[in-house]
Amino acid sequence: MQRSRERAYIVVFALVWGVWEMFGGAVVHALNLPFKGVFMSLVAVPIILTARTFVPTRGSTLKIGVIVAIMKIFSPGGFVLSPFLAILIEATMAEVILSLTRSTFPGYILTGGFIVMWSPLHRLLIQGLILSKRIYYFYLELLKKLTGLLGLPESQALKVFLGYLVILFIVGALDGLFAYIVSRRLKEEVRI
Amino acid sequence: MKRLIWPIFISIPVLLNTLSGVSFYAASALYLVIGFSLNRGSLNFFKKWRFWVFVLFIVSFYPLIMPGKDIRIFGFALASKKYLLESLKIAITGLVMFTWIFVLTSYTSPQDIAGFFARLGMRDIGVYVTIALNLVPIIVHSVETTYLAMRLRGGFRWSIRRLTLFVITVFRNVILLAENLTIAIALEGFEKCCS
Repeated sequence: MQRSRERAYIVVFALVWGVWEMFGGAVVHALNLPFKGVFMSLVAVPIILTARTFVPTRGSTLKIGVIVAIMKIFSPGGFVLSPFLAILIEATMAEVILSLTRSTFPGYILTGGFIVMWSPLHRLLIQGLILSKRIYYFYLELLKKLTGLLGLPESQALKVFLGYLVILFIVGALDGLFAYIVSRRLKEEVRI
Repeated sequence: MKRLIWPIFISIPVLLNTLSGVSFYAASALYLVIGFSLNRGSLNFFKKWRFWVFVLFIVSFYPLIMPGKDIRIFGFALASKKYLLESLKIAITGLVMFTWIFVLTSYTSPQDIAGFFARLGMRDIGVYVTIALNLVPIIVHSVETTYLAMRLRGGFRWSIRRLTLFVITVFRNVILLAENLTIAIALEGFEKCCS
């Protein structure tokens, strides 16, 4: 019975994340909002972490990620390579962190932080793959210009980008905290 | 040919990032010819104005804003020749990759991807995906009902407390669904296929 329950929870939580990626993702993409990736991962984090609370076995988060990635192919926008890879990477990241920390509170915080922080890095990775590594020179130059506009010396460009990543990490960590509170409350209420 | 699609696709960024000069343009042309011959639908990219806006943006934006402008028109220093060539290469790489993503998607079905993960050891993934896809309407209906119920009970204002309540309600419904599914799986409905 326990194995059947694990399977059912994997399917159902993958379903929730998958629905968000299929429909929410299509809407967010169509609206072309800024920080799309951050927004998508902010919703994904509580789903991933709550799923882990109910199925604490190794590999469960990765399985959920694979199911969601395949479901994403059926999304209204069609097979989009970037979100497909993003889901797999996020799930792998969560799986590794949660396995290393044995799904404890710091694990929740770190998972949230790293997943949300990954979204701009994922964009860079995909653009590097599709448009070649040459695009990074332009990004670096743009970053230097932006740093100049902020009134900082150009040598601080990398620090500005790192600062942005740290802010995203903190936002993600807070999301992880939210997921921790929600999942604990659910676990107490449901008592399986 | 189907078996060669993925290796060719993976070789594109590897090769185009290392090649330069004439060999870069020759390799890109070869990839494009193979891509177009495999799927003529990928030629539809050329009909879309959005695609041309994207190409124009890539080719013109960076050379115009980057330093070292040495292309002069009517005496005005307009763009950088070095960056114009680099932008052109980026646009060509993008064109090759987009063409091949199109080819890849037309040759790869969800079953192929599920089969790939099954070979990696996740044998039951195909079954999980099928069950999940069948349950999509139920979860959408459940989320809609929860949202409407909360609105009818005094409006849905975005606050942390409301959001927490909304998320907990959605997850509780999800858990109920999981429990029903557990019974179905335990009753041998899926057990044999998934073990």
